[in-house]
Amino acid sequence: MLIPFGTLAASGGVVPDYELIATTVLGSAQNSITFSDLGTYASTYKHLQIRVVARSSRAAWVDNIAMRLNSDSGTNYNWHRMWAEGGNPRYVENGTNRNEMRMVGISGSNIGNSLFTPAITDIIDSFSTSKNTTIRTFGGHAEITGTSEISFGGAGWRNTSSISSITIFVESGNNFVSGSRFSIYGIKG
Amino acid sequence: MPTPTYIPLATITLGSPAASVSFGSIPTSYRDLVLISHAALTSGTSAILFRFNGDSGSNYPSIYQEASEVGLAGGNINTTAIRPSGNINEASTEFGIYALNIMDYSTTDKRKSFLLRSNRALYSTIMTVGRWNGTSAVSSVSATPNSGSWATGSTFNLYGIVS
Repeated sequence: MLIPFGTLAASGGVVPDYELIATTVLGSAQNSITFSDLGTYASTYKHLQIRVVARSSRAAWVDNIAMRLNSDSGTNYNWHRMWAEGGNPRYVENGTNRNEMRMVGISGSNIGNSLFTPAITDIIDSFSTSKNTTIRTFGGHAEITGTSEISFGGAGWRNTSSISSITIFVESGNNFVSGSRFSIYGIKG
Repeated sequence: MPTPTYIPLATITLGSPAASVSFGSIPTSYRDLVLISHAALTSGTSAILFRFNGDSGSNYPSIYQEASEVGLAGGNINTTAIRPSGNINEASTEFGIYALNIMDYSTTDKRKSFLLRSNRALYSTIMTVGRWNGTSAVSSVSATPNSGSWATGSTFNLYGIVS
């Protein structure tokens, strides 16, 4: 998780280095959301951060969500993550030459109490054209009676293009429920 | 149009030991809260307890994963506060870093979710996620050692992230 503190200006104010670009709060269920026209910010920001609070309509304890960049659905992604589930602290999984970058497992409809899953994804050097894009995600949820999950992982897109769009979707084909929130922030560097 | 965000709301820097610190009257005009603590105990060993709105009931189910010099650990816990697993054992010169994200803290239609990263240089790194059972907006956040006091020089910085 990036912790930008900003810079105290001579006047005593704070120079904003971390800026909200857009927030989407779903008014109805849908499978995916897309932040587009991000190339507009290539000269302004160095990194991006996405903050998610979401829940799936899937009749399960957990449902995985993933990310694609620049509408690329080819097998151009690798990812790996470690997670704890319930009382077991040591799961690992990975994906090689996949069509997406897995982010985290979010709560499904079998978990009650209006529980939404938080996650924070950092995309470092988002607009570089000399590096493949890499991300890291930290997230999870806790439920007393159901399955809890905490997850920390990294992923990469084997493409040096500057990011122009980010799509986040539910891998199972189910939907994000109404009220799910997705915010994207630009970070100067 | 980009909006400046990540607004510092308040900072507490201890000039002398304190049994607890608290941020109150938190405005509801932000999306998320971030509490960055750089803190140590005066002595001894203690768990750290983060609480919302003074709630000390068993309303903080969480799951954690910890890596330390003794190996990997983790599990589900339901306690009376958000707590990094295990105890800190910091002398007054050894400070730990605790970064607590409270998501959608001002909404009243969701139970509040949080993400916590804890780093204690001498012992372990821990990640914790969980929720607070309350649907009220978070109006106060406190950080308290389960026993003992925060050491002089401990700092606690609260930020609001703009909606």
